[in-house]
Amino acid sequence: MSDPLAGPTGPGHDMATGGLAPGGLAGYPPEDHFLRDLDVTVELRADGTARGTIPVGPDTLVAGGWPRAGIVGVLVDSVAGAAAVMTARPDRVATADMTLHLFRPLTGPEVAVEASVMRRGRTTVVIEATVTDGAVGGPLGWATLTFALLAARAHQTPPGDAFRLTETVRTAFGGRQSGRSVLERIGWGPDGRQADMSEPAGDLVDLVHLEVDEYVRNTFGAVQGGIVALLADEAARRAAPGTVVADLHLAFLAPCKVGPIVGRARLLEPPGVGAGAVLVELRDAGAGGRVTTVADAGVVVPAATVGR
Amino acid sequence: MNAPGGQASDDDGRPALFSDYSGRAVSEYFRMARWEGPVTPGGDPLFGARVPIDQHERGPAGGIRAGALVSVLDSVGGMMSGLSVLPRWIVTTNLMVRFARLDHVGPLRVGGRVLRTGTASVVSGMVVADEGQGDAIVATAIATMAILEPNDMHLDFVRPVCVPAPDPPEHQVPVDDFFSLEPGDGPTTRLDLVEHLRNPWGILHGGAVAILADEAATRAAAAAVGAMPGSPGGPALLAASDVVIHYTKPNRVGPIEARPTVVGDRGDAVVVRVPIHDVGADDRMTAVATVTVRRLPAAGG
Repeated sequence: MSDPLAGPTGPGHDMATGGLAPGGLAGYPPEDHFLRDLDVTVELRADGTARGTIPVGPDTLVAGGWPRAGIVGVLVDSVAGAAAVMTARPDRVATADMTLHLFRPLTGPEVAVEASVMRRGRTTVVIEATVTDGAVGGPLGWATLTFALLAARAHQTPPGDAFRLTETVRTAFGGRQSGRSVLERIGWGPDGRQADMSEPAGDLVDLVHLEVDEYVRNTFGAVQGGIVALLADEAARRAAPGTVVADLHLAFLAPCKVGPIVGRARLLEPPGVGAGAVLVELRDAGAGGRVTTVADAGVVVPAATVGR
Repeated sequence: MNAPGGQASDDDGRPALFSDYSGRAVSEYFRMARWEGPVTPGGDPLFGARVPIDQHERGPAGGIRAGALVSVLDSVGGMMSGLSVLPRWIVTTNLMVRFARLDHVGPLRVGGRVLRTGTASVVSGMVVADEGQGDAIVATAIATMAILEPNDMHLDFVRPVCVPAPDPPEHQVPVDDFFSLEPGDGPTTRLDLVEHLRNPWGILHGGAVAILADEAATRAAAAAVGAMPGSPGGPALLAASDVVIHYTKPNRVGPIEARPTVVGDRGDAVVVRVPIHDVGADDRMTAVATVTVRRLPAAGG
């Protein structure tokens, strides 16, 4: 493939993102990294849109055949991040918030995300994304994300028009470890605790721990936004056993850098006629316990929505 | 978009209908009391608000309409975030509101705090408790506000801020009338940008956008799913239960038009994308909402 990035810098320029971008930092992701295990691909098009896929694997499904919201979140963050990076160049971007709505069980062979730029402002980029699964039955989900623009350092700043994409760029992150379970590699703390739904609502409860290492880091050295979504998803489902996460709102307040990252959650309302509600908070225990992420999750009982 | 106080014009062209509200801010329509609380040990300022639920604000599930509560949360989040960055001020850029329950008794009490103050934005979190249901948490929200330089606008507050609830109006004005909603073609819904809906920046209050998005999304969902069992021939029993709004540009001219499309159907709910356009400003898109509209049992609740 010829150099699709018109201009002097081309692929490999530092356009690090909270997710990933084709032609990103050399050496990223490392050999042992969740993006490889999930076999993530990202395709960036000349029109500024992006598409990415994850094949259905051991980590993709939860109860009732529903897609695991956190894994979809990994792909959404990666693909939307790539689109945001391209429109933001030469500035860098970091995920500020993400919303994800899932509609039905997953029946196709892959999860695919199509992302497009809704707005590029002075300080933020807003992205919309459609989630599909290659099967008949309409979209699998819908997502929106805001990325904060981070000014490029002076020595990294090329001419603003130097990054015009002239053809599609495709990046695949499969590797030697492809197919291994990311969830098994990560683990969720020593106790695998679940909340008791019969307990009255109270304070948030520690439910999940994530150790921070190179496996889950992004190019900023922090936990990748999708992995943060995965952690929030896990905490929400543990707060409401027997449910799946159908809606997820995430606000990224600070990077998860030290760890362990502690996922705390509280069931506000069990699912009934509609989705239940769970409040989630992530803290970086190694960074003074600071709150890094807050999330609201909508949870449903799979059987209630399958085959309606 | 938010701004303190209420400096709307007293001439909105509908003097008879709106005589009770002319010159008042959108937040006063909901009879909101607001107060600044003590600073937490961590240094975070706390903020509180209480709103009654007047009958005309209730939706088909019995509780306050989603757009109305989102409007309240926009006001509370705006005040709280704005106070944290004085002398600068803020405009709403993103609201994410999740409803745990739709059958509120009221009054509702909002508790909030600033979660993060950056160089360009403020993020705040809010929890809504229903005092009529033993303080059950009925909604949670996260609001992001962009920080602005106020230029020649002087923002002066007596701290701690304490704004009592306005007295009940002599005549209750329906939500659709106060927010000047007009039916459009199909699910498309319009809002006439009357003066009392402008904030002191002169632009449409962000809460009004929430009302418009809720209305348009619910109409789109109704058109998509048809009448529900138990309501033969009548409208489907639907209510918004999840609202996300990205505000991207100010609404200055009007009319403001919501053009909803259904993007997904989960069985228990329909997810609707609602782009908002300022028709009089070259039809530019000013916001995009994602509204999840829940199917309700025929008897409500």
